[in-house]
Amino acid sequence: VLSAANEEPGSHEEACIVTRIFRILYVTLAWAFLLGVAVQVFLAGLAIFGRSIFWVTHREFGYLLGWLPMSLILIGLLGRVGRPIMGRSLLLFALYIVHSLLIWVRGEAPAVAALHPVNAIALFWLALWLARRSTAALRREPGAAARELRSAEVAQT
Amino acid sequence: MTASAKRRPGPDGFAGRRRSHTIFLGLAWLLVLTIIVQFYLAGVAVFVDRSYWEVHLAFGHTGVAGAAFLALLAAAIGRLGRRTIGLAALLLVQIEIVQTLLVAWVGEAAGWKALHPVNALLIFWLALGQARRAKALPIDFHPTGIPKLEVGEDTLEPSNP
Repeated sequence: VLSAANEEPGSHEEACIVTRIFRILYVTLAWAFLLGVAVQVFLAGLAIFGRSIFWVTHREFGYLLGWLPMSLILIGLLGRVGRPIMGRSLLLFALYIVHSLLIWVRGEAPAVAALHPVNAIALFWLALWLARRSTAALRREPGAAARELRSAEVAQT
Repeated sequence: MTASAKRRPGPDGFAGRRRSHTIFLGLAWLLVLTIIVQFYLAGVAVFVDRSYWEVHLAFGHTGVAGAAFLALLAAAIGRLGRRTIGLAALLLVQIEIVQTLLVAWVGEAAGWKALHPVNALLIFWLALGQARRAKALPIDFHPTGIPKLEVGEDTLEPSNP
């Protein structure tokens, strides 16, 4: 009983640290996805106003960006980010799938494919919500203020 | 009549401000909608017919800029506060000046022009912020942004509390 009692606080603390690391990773990836959407829109702009070869870059970068919504679901689960954030992470992934599907139908239904940039706004909006909300949740975590104070004290000394 | 009595808006002033607030709220959401339509028109120009760039251009100067201008007007008439009026003015400048400059007047560099859709994302974000702000605005606030005063002081007196 004693050994269990001795181990428990340590293992609990370790679990907390691991969860916090996943949450920090989640926040980082959420902001990275938001930045990625902006870059993706910039690449589309380069293709429209510059050379059409940039459509290839836009497509490839888009597929690369697809790893982020998937990673957000996985890391969100590991970091136990809560139901509102998890729900919207799933929605983000669903919107990403829709985004790819909209391009595939451009031959048969171009007017539907034209919703591709509209869906991009939805992705941007949702990514912004997730990035801000997860950052705020991380800051509100118990002990975050104490940690900040401690690091400030260390910096002063 | 004293000077302070002249300054004090009566029940009509309060009702007028409330009407302006409602109109501003509607226009703020209308602006968000026009931006979404504008993105769709860009999509139609890319995926359906290039001639829709003309529609995109015309709608930008009329529909989107018009909604932004009317929102600014409603905010100014209703004296909805400096920040609200400032944000509405910033949106109009972004839509009518910055967006046009990025496409038409910065030379032939594609890098600058490519910032046009990125800036459109920023405009969408600002417009969304304006719409949310409009929804959260209290009706009986002080136009300069100072918290509302107690009834009985030189303040707005709601006709229907």
